[in-house]
Amino acid sequence: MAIRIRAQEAARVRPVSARAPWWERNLAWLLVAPAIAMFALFAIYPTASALLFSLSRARLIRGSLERTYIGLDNFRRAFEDPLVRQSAAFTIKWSLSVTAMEVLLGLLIALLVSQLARGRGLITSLLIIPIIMPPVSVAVAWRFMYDPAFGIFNYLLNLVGLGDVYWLSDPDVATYALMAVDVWQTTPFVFLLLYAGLISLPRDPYEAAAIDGASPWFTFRTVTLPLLKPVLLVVILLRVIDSARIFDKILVMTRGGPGSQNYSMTYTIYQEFIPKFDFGYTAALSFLFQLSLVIVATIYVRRVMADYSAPAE
Amino acid sequence: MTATALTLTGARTGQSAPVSFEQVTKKYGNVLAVDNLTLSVENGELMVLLGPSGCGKTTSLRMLAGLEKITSGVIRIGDVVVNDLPPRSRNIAMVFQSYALYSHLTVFENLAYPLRVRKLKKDEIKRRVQEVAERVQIADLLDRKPREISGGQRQRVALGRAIIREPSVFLMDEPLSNLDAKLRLHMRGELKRFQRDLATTTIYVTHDQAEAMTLADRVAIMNKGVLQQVGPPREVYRQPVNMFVAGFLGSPPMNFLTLDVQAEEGQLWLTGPNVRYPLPPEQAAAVRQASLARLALGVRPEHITLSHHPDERAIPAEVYLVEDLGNELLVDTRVDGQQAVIRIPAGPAPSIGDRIWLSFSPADLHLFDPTTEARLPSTSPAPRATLS
Repeated sequence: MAIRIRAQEAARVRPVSARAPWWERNLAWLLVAPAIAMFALFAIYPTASALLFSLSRARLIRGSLERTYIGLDNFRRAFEDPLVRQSAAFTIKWSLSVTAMEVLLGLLIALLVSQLARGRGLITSLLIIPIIMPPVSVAVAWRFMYDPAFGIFNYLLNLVGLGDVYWLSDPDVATYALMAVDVWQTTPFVFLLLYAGLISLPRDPYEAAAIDGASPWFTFRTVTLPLLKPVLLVVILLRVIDSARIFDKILVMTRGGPGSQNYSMTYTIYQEFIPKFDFGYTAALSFLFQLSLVIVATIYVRRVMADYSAPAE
Repeated sequence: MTATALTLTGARTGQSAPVSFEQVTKKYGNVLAVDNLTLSVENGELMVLLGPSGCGKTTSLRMLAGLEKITSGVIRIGDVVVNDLPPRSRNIAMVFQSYALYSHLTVFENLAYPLRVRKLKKDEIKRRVQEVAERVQIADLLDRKPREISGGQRQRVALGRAIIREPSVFLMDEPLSNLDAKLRLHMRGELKRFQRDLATTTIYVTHDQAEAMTLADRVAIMNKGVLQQVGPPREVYRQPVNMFVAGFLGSPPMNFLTLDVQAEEGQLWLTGPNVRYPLPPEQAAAVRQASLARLALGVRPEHITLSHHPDERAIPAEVYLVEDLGNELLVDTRVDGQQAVIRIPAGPAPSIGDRIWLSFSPADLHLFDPTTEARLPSTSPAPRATLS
């Protein structure tokens, strides 16, 4: 009420009129202008420029860029390219698999650690180590451990009398070996988020459930999971999007091999760009990849997370 | 799991059971939260644990619920020692201060939860939820989530969820303290009726003495982890065993005047700089026996009458403040610098600064040893025929 009266007084003192100077009439726009300018420079310009490239044949030939408008040819080519199809399938499989494993493992560790009476801090600190390591260093380290001749894994297998496994070159094994590295590095991140969610859950429903006679498993299903669901949904979204962009580990460990079996979308784009410098085609691929991620994320946020977008009580 | 639980406590669903604490102690590190508590609650009784915050009443309740481990002693529900039984094996139901509803479940699902745990058939669950919902008057809210209903309605859901279990014992942890004053009075009455109708042993924790007095069959007053007194509300009000109990019950609380004891001409006098009060013969014997040099004299505000005329058998005081409550007056006075509050019916009020005289019936006097704070033996006021 007091505020309304003050607003009326203000209106009387200085009536809003068309004669106010232009900058006052457009103050709101002026205030957001710098932000819009930055956004345009760093987000809109590159996207628009990539879109333009994707509509052209653009190649770097003897140090100069040759560019001709070819309409949607690059996109047509992308949809017909078997390597693109294969790497899209690989990316979907990769993203869903590592997300599933990381969330399950992360949740399990978070549940275990939250039950500990002591040592929580130590375990949490130790688990942060993989997160802070650069992915390339992790990939190099694992590549050594996977080495068929002098890696630790085959050494251990030999100790128990089992033969060598060609971790990164056997088509039946390589994909899983690569996934294991990503799961190793990223599960702690998932753990941290879920653990933070778990320990901030209210105590009361647990005590009520204990008194109501619920077993630990029933409590987990009916109390923990529903209460943790908002955090779980965000973690799944983050991981699906982030893991779909896998590149560094694949480059360092197998260069997409064996063959082209482990070509992710980003690796395919890279392959098309670096040796061939096909600006137009790679721009089209990048645009398609970015668009599909945006579509997936939008559907997910609209449909799956809709119940949680309104602020809880 | 449920079947074993029931045989463990020796009680079937719907069968109330007595409760006993035997020398129960709870320590958190070096902090003594509950000190050697011995208390038995009869079958079907409503026992109120009353005390200020931190007195150990909630800890005692949580130990009974199995939410806290006990450091030493024995807790029984029925004939069964429940010390090491998990909460789910004790056949108890609890109403929490925060209600502790499952926020992601509807009212129906909240009520059904304890029955789902017992793997009852869907039809049976539906029938009992409907029955209980009608009983606590939330039948029209079954599809709502807890955040969509009012505080009073949530409280009813919490109560319904407790009732639906048909437990051996109800535990209530300040269940009314989150309600506004008017609703609290209303729910207090309803709780009393529910408990009467269900005739299930109930342990009710509160810091609100009015709630304790109106609800309880018996009140157990605790302070600093130690049980002070147990008895029916009227008894603990009329015969408090010490100054803590006397001061905790009643609003405004009992007045205490600490005075010197002097013997002259075969008569005991309570004296201060401006006070010379002849101790009534009924009380003198006990004071002589205790041979005290100082005495705390306790009188409830409603038992004091005031006069503007000097009286040898009255205590002189000065009016410090007058509070008009509409139907009555609270006259705050000073007796030798000590506070004494008098409650009198609305009428002509004394003015601030007036010199007045306070008098009371010997039957309404409570005498305490000011060092131990204990009531002097055999100074219990004789039951007043006019009141009782």
